[in-house]
Amino acid sequence: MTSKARWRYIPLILWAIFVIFPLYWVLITAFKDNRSIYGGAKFIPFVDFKPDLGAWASILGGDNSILGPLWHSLLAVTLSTLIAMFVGTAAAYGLARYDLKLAWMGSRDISFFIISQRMMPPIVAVMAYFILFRQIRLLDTIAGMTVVYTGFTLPLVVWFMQNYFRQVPVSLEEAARTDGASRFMIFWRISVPLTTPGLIATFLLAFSFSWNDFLFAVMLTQTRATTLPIAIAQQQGQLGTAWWNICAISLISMVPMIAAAIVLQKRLVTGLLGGSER
Amino acid sequence: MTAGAGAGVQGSRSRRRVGDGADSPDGGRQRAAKRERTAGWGFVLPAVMVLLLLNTFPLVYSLLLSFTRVDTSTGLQIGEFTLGNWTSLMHDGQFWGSVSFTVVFTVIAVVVEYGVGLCLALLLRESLAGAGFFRVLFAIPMMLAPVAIGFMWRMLYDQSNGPIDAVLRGLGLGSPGWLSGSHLAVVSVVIMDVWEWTPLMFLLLLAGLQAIPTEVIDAARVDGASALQVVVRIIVPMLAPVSVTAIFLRMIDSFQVFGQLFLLTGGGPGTATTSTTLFGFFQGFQSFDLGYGAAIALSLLVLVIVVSTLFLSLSRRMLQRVET
Repeated sequence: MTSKARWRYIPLILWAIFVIFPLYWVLITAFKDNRSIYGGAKFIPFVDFKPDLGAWASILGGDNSILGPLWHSLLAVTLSTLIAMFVGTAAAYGLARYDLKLAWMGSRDISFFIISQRMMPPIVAVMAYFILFRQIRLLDTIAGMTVVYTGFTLPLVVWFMQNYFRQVPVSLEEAARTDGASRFMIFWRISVPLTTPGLIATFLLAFSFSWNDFLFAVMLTQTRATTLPIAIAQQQGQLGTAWWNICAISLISMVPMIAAAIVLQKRLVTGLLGGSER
Repeated sequence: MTAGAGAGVQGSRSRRRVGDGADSPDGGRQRAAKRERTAGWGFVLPAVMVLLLLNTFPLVYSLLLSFTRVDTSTGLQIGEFTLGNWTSLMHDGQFWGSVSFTVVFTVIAVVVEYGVGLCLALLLRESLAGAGFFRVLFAIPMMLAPVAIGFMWRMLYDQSNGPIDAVLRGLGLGSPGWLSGSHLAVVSVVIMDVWEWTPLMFLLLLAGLQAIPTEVIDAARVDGASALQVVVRIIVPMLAPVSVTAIFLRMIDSFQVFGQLFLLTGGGPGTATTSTTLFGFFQGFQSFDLGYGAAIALSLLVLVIVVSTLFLSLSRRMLQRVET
């Protein structure tokens, strides 16, 4: 094992370098000023260039304050994810536990209808949203973005939660049932708590999808509801590109994702694969 | 190891339902079953309604849009019925160019990501000091926003101030001009995608690998199979269902690539890296021809449906062969 395994570090370390270096570059660029960026590549802070906090001052309340977009993002993404989680978890439970029939369609067909929505490219919906939102005055509003992101993440929630519910044994539910608990109570008090790890994983994944979205936001927001990815894109202006700001905002927008990664660890993968690994 | 194919759409075959096995006379049971169904709809209906409203309705609306001429001069009035968008789309070289870029990009990126992801997962399958560190590290890139990734690689590829060319210059090599040649630009874009999405492949395949019972592999080893034989003959076939899910997921997302390209290359040089979504965006929102944009978007949907149906039926046949 020992001598045989050691060679494996070589490819692993090489890939690690490939992964880390771009991130490192973003990190140091967030502390560069105009002079340190233009005029050749500068690799090491304090040696090659003097770290500068200008970008951070500028985006946290300065000329390029991102506090607005940060707030819009947090509000629209959190709200939509919560709604999608609530509606989607119920649907996933219904599909996993009941044999539904609608004309020729059974549970499987309905489940396929919901999950297949993931295949629809967002660009298809966004054209229609643009015109419809103009008519009902939802363009460039946080409410509008909440609506869009709810539809965007709902299929994902149903898909994941269905897999989690199938892993939960039904015996507990049957016991509660003979005790006379209502269907909704069984769902809410017994089944949902049993899938807590799955709930967390699904919430975080759905959150990250909306959090990182660019297509919907770039087309449906202008000023009042711009999100963080738009704030990043806006740093590229007519007067040149503020690379230091771009990097600083990118780092800030990574914070929730890193937190998610720490909570998630293995759970995300179990959710994606469902029961297939057992 | 049967579910998970078809992107986990179908679940395990032997799932039990609440209310199964309630022993009552047949008539009562039928009535009970009907009541069960009604109760089930209570859970499912809200989601179906939301999706009909937020996904199906926009889809139908886009379909209508693609058959009308949207007049921007009078404040986005929807004009009369026309087939014009579709006929000009069929003859639009730029559109077909964007389709062929999207397909080429998807195929190369997904193949590379699968290969690298599988290798990394195999390397980390057995316990290794520091495995946890590598696992977390390798997952980070997929968490970044596509916008941030597009800008990031633009800095890295930069000819005068970027680190890659600085290193190449240090080695006495010239700059290849990462984003200026139309062929190399495609490669550069693929590198970015591999950086971003190999993590997902890696995580999924690692989970699949860890589910393979070690006895199977040990037994093959005892029988004198080499490490390579074990991988090719045992691990890869047993990983097939997970592989199908992973490839399918990546394929669908890759067909829709937008943000990264928009900021890294803007579709250039020329139209060399214009994906279909990017082309639809340019036509619909920069030239403000929403009818044409809708037609482009819908053809992308058709492409996704055709390719995924083909892929899923092919892989289902393949999986059956593996199982027998």
